[in-house]
Amino acid sequence: MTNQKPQKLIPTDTGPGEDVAWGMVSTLVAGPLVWGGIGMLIDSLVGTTRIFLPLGIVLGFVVSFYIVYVRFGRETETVQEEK
Amino acid sequence: MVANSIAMHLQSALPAAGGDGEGFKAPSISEFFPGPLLFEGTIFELSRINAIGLFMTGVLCLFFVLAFSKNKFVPRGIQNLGEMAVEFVQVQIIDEILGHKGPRYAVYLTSMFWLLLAFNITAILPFMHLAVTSVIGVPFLLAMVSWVIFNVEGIRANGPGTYFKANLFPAGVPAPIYILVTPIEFISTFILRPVTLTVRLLANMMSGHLLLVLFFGATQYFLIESDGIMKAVAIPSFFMGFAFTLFEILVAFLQAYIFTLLTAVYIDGATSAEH
Repeated sequence: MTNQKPQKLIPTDTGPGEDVAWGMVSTLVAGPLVWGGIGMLIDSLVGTTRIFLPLGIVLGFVVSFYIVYVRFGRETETVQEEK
Repeated sequence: MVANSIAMHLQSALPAAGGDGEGFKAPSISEFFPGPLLFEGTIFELSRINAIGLFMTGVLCLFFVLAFSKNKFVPRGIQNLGEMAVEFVQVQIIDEILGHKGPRYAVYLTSMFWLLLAFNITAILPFMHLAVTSVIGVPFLLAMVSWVIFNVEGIRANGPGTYFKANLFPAGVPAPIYILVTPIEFISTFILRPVTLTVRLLANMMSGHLLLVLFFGATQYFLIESDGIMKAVAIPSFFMGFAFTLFEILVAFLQAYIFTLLTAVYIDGATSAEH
């Protein structure tokens, strides 16, 4: 290996930052997808037309935001309090 | 006004596309499915995109074999380049994200970064002009390998119980709420992670290729097949194509970097003690 180490091009927090951003996106997509899907399934089983699907999507969004708050929001609050 | 005129000109030419070979040929999804090159009709059928993939893999293997076959204490020539290549991934990704856990995954992550860069950069290389990663198979396969690695390593480091509990049951949530939360966490962590890795890379390389084909196709059309003042439109079209070619170099590098970085982040997250 060469003696001189290359300079770091990327700031230290880039990695986890990327992870947080994509973690949030995938959670916000997964919520409506999962609960909207379950809603659609209930709709087809019960015989209703598009009642449980929108309810599921809204529920999914709400739970997704809650997960984002639990996973990422609280950590940020803790870090800010420590500072 | 000018833009409208150009758009109308292109639109009027569109019906001719694919007909007798004249007129403006708009890029389509068929760009990514070139016809067979060798062994047509057999299970070894090789398209242009497969051939480019094999060629770039060969070039990469040859480079690293030549770089490290005769190791010297003070590196010279190609060994220097090889060490720079390895050290880049080591410093920018492995040390940065994985720290002391890094050496275990160094071979995989270094190979992945340079393989992805080699596959992405073919989008702008003369005589190739098609990124191997612009068909879903390659990014999906690599994403699945990363998915298997971070899950296996997570289970190995923490035990299956702790690993799945940490990923599916986030701390600080009242127990009844897990009925709502756990299915979302399952889809988000175990299904959407490889999907987002695949789609991010695929979409970037596909859109880059379509833009290049669009601008250079328009340049050729305006220069050769249109009349009068419309020929002048070839100049800005060419410069846009040139600008996007330079931009594609950045995208090729950045996408290889992000894919490898996120794999490292997932491995780190899966194996960390806090999970």
